[in-house]
Amino acid sequence: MTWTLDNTLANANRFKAYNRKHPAETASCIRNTMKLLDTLRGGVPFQNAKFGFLRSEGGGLWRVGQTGIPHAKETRLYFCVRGETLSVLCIGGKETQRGDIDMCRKIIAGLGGETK
Amino acid sequence: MNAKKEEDIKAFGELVGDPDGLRKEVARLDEGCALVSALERLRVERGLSQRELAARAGISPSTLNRMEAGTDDQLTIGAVRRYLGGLGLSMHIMLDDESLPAAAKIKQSVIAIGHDLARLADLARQDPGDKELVEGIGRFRGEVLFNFLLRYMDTQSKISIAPDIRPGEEVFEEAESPLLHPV
Repeated sequence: MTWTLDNTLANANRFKAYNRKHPAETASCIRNTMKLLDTLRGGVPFQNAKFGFLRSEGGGLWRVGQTGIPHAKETRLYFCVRGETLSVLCIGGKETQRGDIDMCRKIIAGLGGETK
Repeated sequence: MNAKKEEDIKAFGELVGDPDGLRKEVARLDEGCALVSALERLRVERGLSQRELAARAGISPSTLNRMEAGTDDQLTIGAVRRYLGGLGLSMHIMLDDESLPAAAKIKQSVIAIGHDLARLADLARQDPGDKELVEGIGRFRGEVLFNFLLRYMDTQSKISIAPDIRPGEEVFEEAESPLLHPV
Protein backbone atom coordinates (compact mmCIF):
# COMPACT_ATOMS: atom_id res chain seq x y z
CA MET A 1 0.00 0.00 0.00
CA THR A 2 1.21 3.49 -0.82
CA TRP A 3 -0.64 5.57 1.73
CA THR A 4 1.03 8.93 2.21
CA LEU A 5 0.64 11.85 4.56
CA ASP A 6 0.03 15.33 3.18
CA ASN A 7 0.43 18.39 5.42
CA THR A 8 0.27 21.02 2.69
CA LEU A 9 -3.40 21.84 3.30
CA ALA A 10 -2.99 22.06 7.08
CA ASN A 11 -3.47 25.22 9.10
CA ALA A 12 0.12 25.37 10.37
CA ASN A 13 -0.44 28.36 12.66
CA ARG A 14 -3.26 26.54 14.42
CA PHE A 15 -1.11 23.42 14.85
CA LYS A 16 1.77 25.41 16.32
CA ALA A 17 -0.46 27.39 18.67
CA TYR A 18 -2.41 24.33 19.81
CA ASN A 19 0.77 22.35 20.40
CA ARG A 20 2.20 25.12 22.58
CA LYS A 21 -0.88 24.99 24.83
CA HIS A 22 -1.65 21.27 24.71
CA PRO A 23 1.45 19.31 23.67
CA ALA A 24 0.29 15.95 25.06
CA GLU A 25 -3.12 16.10 23.36
CA THR A 26 -1.53 17.23 20.08
CA ALA A 27 0.99 14.38 20.25
CA SER A 28 -1.77 11.88 21.02
CA CYS A 29 -3.85 12.93 17.99
CA ILE A 30 -0.76 12.80 15.79
CA ARG A 31 0.20 9.39 17.19
CA ASN A 32 -3.30 8.09 16.47
CA THR A 33 -3.15 9.49 12.94
CA MET A 34 0.15 7.67 12.46
CA LYS A 35 -1.45 4.49 13.84
CA LEU A 36 -4.22 4.85 11.27
CA LEU A 37 -1.71 5.37 8.47
CA ASP A 38 0.29 2.37 9.61
CA THR A 39 -2.84 0.21 9.55
CA LEU A 40 -3.79 1.43 6.07
CA ARG A 41 -0.26 0.73 4.84
CA GLY A 42 -0.67 -2.76 6.28
CA GLY A 43 -3.47 -3.38 3.79
CA VAL A 44 -6.58 -2.70 5.89
CA PRO A 45 -9.10 -0.77 3.74
CA PHE A 46 -9.97 2.70 5.07
CA GLN A 47 -13.61 1.73 5.68
CA ASN A 48 -12.46 -1.23 7.80
CA ALA A 49 -10.08 0.77 9.97
CA LYS A 50 -12.54 0.87 12.87
CA PHE A 51 -10.54 2.74 15.46
CA GLY A 52 -12.36 4.14 18.46
CA PHE A 53 -10.61 7.48 18.02
CA LEU A 54 -11.78 7.90 14.40
CA ARG A 55 -15.09 9.61 13.57
CA SER A 56 -16.69 10.84 10.37
CA GLU A 57 -17.92 14.43 10.34
CA GLY A 58 -19.69 13.78 7.03
CA GLY A 59 -18.92 15.18 3.58
CA GLY A 60 -15.52 13.51 3.41
CA LEU A 61 -14.27 15.11 6.62
CA TRP A 62 -12.84 12.88 9.36
CA ARG A 63 -11.51 13.51 12.80
CA VAL A 64 -9.03 11.72 15.07
CA GLY A 65 -9.41 12.17 18.82
CA GLN A 66 -6.86 11.95 21.62
CA THR A 67 -6.37 8.78 23.69
CA GLY A 68 -4.03 7.63 26.43
CA ILE A 69 -4.04 10.86 28.44
CA PRO A 70 -5.97 10.90 31.71
CA HIS A 71 -8.06 14.08 32.16
CA ALA A 72 -7.14 15.30 28.70
CA LYS A 73 -8.61 18.27 26.91
CA GLU A 74 -10.87 16.92 24.18
CA THR A 75 -8.93 17.44 20.98
CA ARG A 76 -9.70 16.69 17.36
CA LEU A 77 -7.35 16.47 14.42
CA TYR A 78 -9.29 16.89 11.16
CA PHE A 79 -8.33 15.31 7.86
CA CYS A 80 -9.71 14.19 4.51
CA VAL A 81 -8.74 11.30 2.27
CA ARG A 82 -7.87 11.68 -1.42
CA GLY A 83 -7.04 8.40 -3.09
CA GLU A 84 -4.37 6.95 -0.83
CA THR A 85 -3.37 10.30 0.60
CA LEU A 86 -4.38 11.39 4.07
CA SER A 87 -4.51 15.20 4.04
CA VAL A 88 -4.29 16.79 7.46
CA LEU A 89 -6.37 19.97 7.73
CA CYS A 90 -6.71 21.34 11.24
CA ILE A 91 -6.55 20.68 14.97
CA GLY A 92 -8.73 22.10 17.69
CA GLY A 93 -10.74 21.58 20.85
CA LYS A 94 -14.42 21.14 21.49
CA GLU A 95 -15.06 24.87 21.85
CA THR A 96 -13.76 25.65 18.34
CA GLN A 97 -15.32 22.55 16.78
CA ARG A 98 -18.02 24.32 14.76
CA GLY A 99 -15.61 26.84 13.23
CA ASP A 100 -12.96 24.19 12.61
CA ILE A 101 -15.40 21.95 10.78
CA ASP A 102 -16.69 24.87 8.65
CA MET A 103 -13.13 25.80 7.72
CA CYS A 104 -12.26 22.20 6.82
CA ARG A 105 -15.41 21.84 4.72
CA LYS A 106 -14.39 24.93 2.72
CA ILE A 107 -10.98 23.39 2.06
CA ILE A 108 -12.60 20.14 0.98
CA ALA A 109 -15.05 21.99 -1.28
CA GLY A 110 -12.06 23.66 -2.92
CA LEU A 111 -10.61 20.24 -3.72
CA GLY A 112 -13.54 19.57 -6.09
CA GLY A 113 -15.07 16.34 -4.82
CA GLU A 114 -11.93 14.20 -4.75
CA THR A 115 -12.41 13.11 -1.17
CA LYS A 116 -14.09 10.02 0.25
CA MET B 1 10.45 3.00 13.95
CA ASN B 2 10.18 2.21 10.24
CA ALA B 3 11.16 4.68 7.51
CA LYS B 4 7.59 5.75 6.68
CA LYS B 5 6.77 6.42 10.32
CA GLU B 6 9.99 8.34 10.66
CA GLU B 7 8.99 10.51 7.68
CA ASP B 8 5.52 11.05 9.16
CA ILE B 9 6.73 12.12 12.58
CA LYS B 10 9.28 14.44 10.96
CA ALA B 11 6.54 16.04 8.87
CA PHE B 12 4.27 16.42 11.88
CA GLY B 13 7.16 17.80 13.92
CA GLU B 14 7.65 20.54 11.37
CA LEU B 15 3.93 21.22 11.32
CA VAL B 16 3.72 21.75 15.09
CA GLY B 17 7.04 23.63 15.14
CA ASP B 18 8.63 21.39 17.79
CA PRO B 19 10.00 18.17 16.30
CA ASP B 20 11.91 17.11 19.43
CA GLY B 21 9.04 17.83 21.79
CA LEU B 22 6.60 15.92 19.60
CA ARG B 23 8.93 12.94 19.34
CA LYS B 24 9.30 12.82 23.14
CA GLU B 25 5.55 13.07 23.74
CA VAL B 26 4.82 10.33 21.18
CA ALA B 27 7.49 8.09 22.75
CA ARG B 28 5.98 8.69 26.20
CA LEU B 29 2.52 7.73 24.92
CA ASP B 30 3.92 4.66 23.13
CA GLU B 31 5.47 3.51 26.40
CA GLY B 32 2.36 4.08 28.50
CA CYS B 33 -0.09 2.54 26.02
CA ALA B 34 1.85 -0.39 24.53
CA LEU B 35 -0.65 -3.05 25.63
CA VAL B 36 -3.69 -0.92 24.77
CA SER B 37 -2.27 -0.32 21.28
CA ALA B 38 -1.55 -4.02 20.79
CA LEU B 39 -5.13 -4.96 21.76
CA GLU B 40 -6.58 -2.27 19.52
CA ARG B 41 -4.43 -3.41 16.60
CA LEU B 42 -5.61 -7.02 17.03
CA ARG B 43 -9.24 -5.88 16.92
CA VAL B 44 -8.83 -3.63 13.88
CA GLU B 45 -6.84 -6.24 11.94
CA ARG B 46 -9.73 -8.65 12.44
CA GLY B 47 -12.14 -6.08 11.00
CA LEU B 48 -14.19 -5.86 14.20
CA SER B 49 -15.76 -2.64 15.44
CA GLN B 50 -15.69 -1.81 19.15
CA ARG B 51 -19.40 -2.66 19.36
CA GLU B 52 -18.93 -6.06 17.66
CA LEU B 53 -16.05 -7.03 19.90
CA ALA B 54 -17.89 -5.81 23.01
CA ALA B 55 -20.78 -8.15 22.17
CA ARG B 56 -18.42 -11.09 21.67
CA ALA B 57 -16.42 -10.32 24.81
CA GLY B 58 -19.46 -9.79 27.02
CA ILE B 59 -18.50 -6.26 28.00
CA SER B 60 -20.27 -3.01 27.32
CA PRO B 61 -19.19 -0.93 24.30
CA SER B 62 -18.49 2.03 26.59
CA THR B 63 -16.16 -0.08 28.75
CA LEU B 64 -14.34 -1.29 25.67
CA ASN B 65 -14.10 2.28 24.38
CA ARG B 66 -12.66 3.42 27.72
CA MET B 67 -10.11 0.59 27.62
CA GLU B 68 -8.86 1.64 24.19
CA ALA B 69 -8.87 5.33 25.12
CA GLY B 70 -6.92 4.78 28.33
CA THR B 71 -3.45 3.75 29.39
CA ASP B 72 -1.96 0.35 30.22
CA ASP B 73 -2.08 1.22 33.93
CA GLN B 74 -5.86 1.63 33.74
CA LEU B 75 -6.44 -1.87 32.33
CA THR B 76 -7.61 -4.70 34.57
CA ILE B 77 -6.57 -8.30 34.01
CA GLY B 78 -10.19 -9.43 33.82
CA ALA B 79 -11.04 -6.88 31.15
CA VAL B 80 -7.98 -7.81 29.07
CA ARG B 81 -8.88 -11.51 29.38
CA ARG B 82 -12.45 -10.84 28.19
CA TYR B 83 -11.20 -8.58 25.38
CA LEU B 84 -8.83 -11.30 24.14
CA GLY B 85 -11.51 -13.96 24.61
CA GLY B 86 -13.75 -11.96 22.26
CA LEU B 87 -10.96 -12.12 19.69
CA GLY B 88 -10.61 -15.87 20.20
CA LEU B 89 -7.28 -15.48 21.98
CA SER B 90 -6.14 -16.58 25.42
CA MET B 91 -3.75 -14.93 27.83
CA HIS B 92 -0.83 -16.22 29.88
CA ILE B 93 0.93 -14.27 32.57
CA MET B 94 4.57 -14.77 33.37
CA LEU B 95 5.78 -13.52 36.72
CA ASP B 96 9.43 -12.65 36.79
CA ASP B 97 10.94 -12.48 40.26
CA GLU B 98 14.08 -10.36 39.93
CA SER B 99 15.21 -11.29 43.45
CA LEU B 100 15.69 -14.98 42.59
CA PRO B 101 19.20 -16.42 42.23
CA ALA B 102 20.46 -17.12 38.70
CA ALA B 103 19.83 -20.89 38.95
CA ALA B 104 16.17 -20.32 39.79
CA LYS B 105 15.83 -17.82 36.95
CA ILE B 106 17.32 -20.35 34.54
CA LYS B 107 14.82 -22.90 35.80
CA GLN B 108 11.99 -20.43 35.19
CA SER B 109 13.13 -19.82 31.65
CA VAL B 110 13.53 -23.51 30.86
CA ILE B 111 10.08 -24.29 32.25
CA ALA B 112 8.61 -21.46 30.18
CA ILE B 113 10.32 -22.78 27.04
CA GLY B 114 9.04 -26.27 27.91
CA HIS B 115 5.49 -24.90 28.20
CA ASP B 116 5.78 -23.10 24.87
CA LEU B 117 7.03 -26.23 23.14
CA ALA B 118 4.25 -28.30 24.72
CA ARG B 119 1.72 -25.79 23.46
CA LEU B 120 3.34 -25.87 20.03
CA ALA B 121 3.04 -29.67 20.02
CA ASP B 122 -0.63 -29.40 21.04
CA LEU B 123 -1.27 -27.03 18.17
CA ALA B 124 0.57 -29.29 15.74
CA ARG B 125 -1.49 -32.25 16.98
CA GLN B 126 -4.63 -30.42 15.85
CA ASP B 127 -3.42 -30.95 12.29
CA PRO B 128 -4.13 -34.68 11.92
CA GLY B 129 -2.15 -35.00 8.72
CA ASP B 130 1.16 -33.89 10.18
CA LYS B 131 2.38 -36.58 12.57
CA GLU B 132 5.97 -35.82 11.59
CA LEU B 133 5.66 -32.26 12.83
CA VAL B 134 4.25 -33.41 16.19
CA GLU B 135 7.03 -35.94 16.61
CA GLY B 136 9.63 -33.38 15.60
CA ILE B 137 8.43 -30.85 18.16
CA GLY B 138 8.25 -33.54 20.87
CA ARG B 139 11.76 -34.67 20.04
CA PHE B 140 13.05 -31.11 20.04
CA ARG B 141 11.44 -30.41 23.41
CA GLY B 142 12.95 -33.56 24.87
CA GLU B 143 16.37 -32.64 23.54
CA VAL B 144 16.19 -29.08 24.87
CA LEU B 145 15.29 -30.20 28.37
CA PHE B 146 17.70 -33.15 28.32
CA ASN B 147 20.61 -31.04 27.14
CA PHE B 148 19.83 -28.46 29.77
CA LEU B 149 19.87 -31.09 32.51
CA LEU B 150 23.05 -32.63 31.15
CA ARG B 151 24.85 -29.32 31.08
CA TYR B 152 23.76 -28.33 34.56
CA MET B 153 23.84 -31.82 36.09
CA ASP B 154 25.73 -30.64 39.17
CA THR B 155 23.01 -28.19 40.01
CA GLN B 156 20.20 -30.52 39.12
CA SER B 157 19.03 -30.79 42.69
CA LYS B 158 18.61 -27.04 42.80
CA ILE B 159 16.94 -26.78 39.44
CA SER B 160 15.22 -30.09 38.99
CA ILE B 161 12.74 -29.88 36.17
CA ALA B 162 11.98 -33.13 34.41
CA PRO B 163 14.44 -35.83 35.51
CA ASP B 164 13.18 -38.63 33.26
CA ILE B 165 13.54 -36.91 29.93
CA ARG B 166 15.86 -38.56 27.39
CA PRO B 167 16.77 -37.29 23.94
CA GLY B 168 14.45 -38.46 21.20
CA GLU B 169 11.64 -39.07 23.63
CA GLU B 170 8.30 -37.35 23.13
CA VAL B 171 7.56 -35.19 26.12
CA PHE B 172 4.11 -33.82 26.52
CA GLU B 173 3.69 -33.89 30.29
CA GLU B 174 3.41 -30.37 31.66
CA ALA B 175 6.08 -29.40 34.17
CA GLU B 176 4.47 -27.55 37.04
CA SER B 177 5.48 -23.96 37.02
CA PRO B 178 4.43 -21.30 39.46
CA LEU B 179 5.35 -18.76 36.82
CA LEU B 180 3.19 -19.53 33.86
CA HIS B 181 -0.50 -19.57 34.54
CA PRO B 182 -3.32 -19.74 32.02
CA VAL B 183 -5.72 -16.98 33.01
